[in-house]
Amino acid sequence: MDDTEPYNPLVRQYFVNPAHAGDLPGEYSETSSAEASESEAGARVRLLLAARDGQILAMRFRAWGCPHLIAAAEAVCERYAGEPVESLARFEPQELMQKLAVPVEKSGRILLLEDALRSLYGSATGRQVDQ
Amino acid sequence: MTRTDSQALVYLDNAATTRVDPRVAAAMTACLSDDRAFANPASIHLAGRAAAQRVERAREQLAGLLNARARDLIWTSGATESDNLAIIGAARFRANRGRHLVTMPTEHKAVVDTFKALEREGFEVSWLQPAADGVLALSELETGLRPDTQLVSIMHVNNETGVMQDIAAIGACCQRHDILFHTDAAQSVGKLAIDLDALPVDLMSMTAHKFHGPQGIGALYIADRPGCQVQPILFGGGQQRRLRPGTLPVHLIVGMGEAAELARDNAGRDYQHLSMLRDRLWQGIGAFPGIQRNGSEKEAFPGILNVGVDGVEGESLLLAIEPVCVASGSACNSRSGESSYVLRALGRSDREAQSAIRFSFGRDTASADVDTAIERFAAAVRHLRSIAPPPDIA
Repeated sequence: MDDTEPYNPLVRQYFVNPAHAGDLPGEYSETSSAEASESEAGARVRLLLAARDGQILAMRFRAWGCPHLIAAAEAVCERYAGEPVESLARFEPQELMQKLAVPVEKSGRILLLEDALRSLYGSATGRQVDQ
Repeated sequence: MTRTDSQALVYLDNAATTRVDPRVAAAMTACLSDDRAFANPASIHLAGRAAAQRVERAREQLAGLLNARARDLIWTSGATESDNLAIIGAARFRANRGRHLVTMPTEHKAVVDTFKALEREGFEVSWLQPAADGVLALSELETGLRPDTQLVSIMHVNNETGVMQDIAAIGACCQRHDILFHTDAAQSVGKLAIDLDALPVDLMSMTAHKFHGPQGIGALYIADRPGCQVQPILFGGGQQRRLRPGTLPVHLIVGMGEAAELARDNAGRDYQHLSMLRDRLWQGIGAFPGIQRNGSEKEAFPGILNVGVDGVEGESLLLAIEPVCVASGSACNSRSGESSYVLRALGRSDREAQSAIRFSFGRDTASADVDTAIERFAAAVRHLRSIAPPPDIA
């Protein structure tokens, strides 16, 4: 990726085909949701999770924001499906920023996603993520 | 390889820059390959004089477009430099008379940041607020003037919204108070009829690449009247009456002259063409739910259409609408991540400003381009609204 190309191929792929955008299918009974927003810029992300016996069955998202935020939300939903709910507490924003080549000036969008994930973890487990 | 490399571009970002007209490119190529035109036009030998003749012919061509005197036009590197020279040069020239200056927050950054630099130099600047449609009320201007005001700078056509200011009335007001009037006409020269013999304008900035000429060349018009002078801001040579030293780029100047002549020849046709394209696009997208025009519909330059789209973020729309090339806010700050300061000055919220998208047309834009843009726009908005959280869906 050169300096003239603001999005790496993975961002483009996730942005064009966000397979996890939308709502959870109605078949799930144990669901949780969380939302985070930037009041200043208006970016907003909502995460939805279906889990059973501590395992994530499915994740979905909705987002209003730049392509990096949409791609990051899609990447997170893809990454955690099938994982233990506890794994949400180990989210590493740096790893995602690197994977999606998120520019430093947009790091706030990834931190927004981190906020939503922490909140989702709290909603699903009743516990706080250790700082 | 990016996605756009394999797709035909639909270029609707002519307010950022226009494609060089093939006739302009031909004239420039001929100049570059001419045995005599390569020389420095400041040289007095035979080759230098041949180059100088080309420069002066181009100056006449540009003067013809503007109904101005050729000797009142100074070549620069573009509108940014012209704005800097006009504003800093005039403010400093008249600083002994007073240090109060007037402009608007909706000006191009080349003007806004130049005035901010003058504020740091000790000048006092009044920033006049436009109405919500972007138009400056003359009463607002009148009340903003003071006995020590020396310069007013108001752009002709706004680069983001296409809103046109009444520069004839503004200039007349300034003239009554013996205040210099500068206008950044980067978006209007070559697209709107401008008669500098009749207009009360003292200083006018322009650039070739906005009207199908090359990038890197512009001009500043300086009216020949008492009290209308600028101090140079560059030093190092005696070219152009010491106002703007530096070796002149002959092939770029030839290109600007040719572009000016073409604009003059096509004036009426170009305006009608731009109006047709703008109306066609608005007919195609205006009925979408949650869409509104930004800026005055009455005082609107037809080459620009700026719209806000509920439930959609501008940068994402830019990517989703590819291969249609448009702008989210000004092209000059599209990589900054900031929402449009122009739209926020019109009272739009930060979020509304982030939802704005600018379409701009040129002489070479076809109706089919607009039809493609309508199709892609509809698909992109549907896609992004399907992703957005519920309150953002119109």
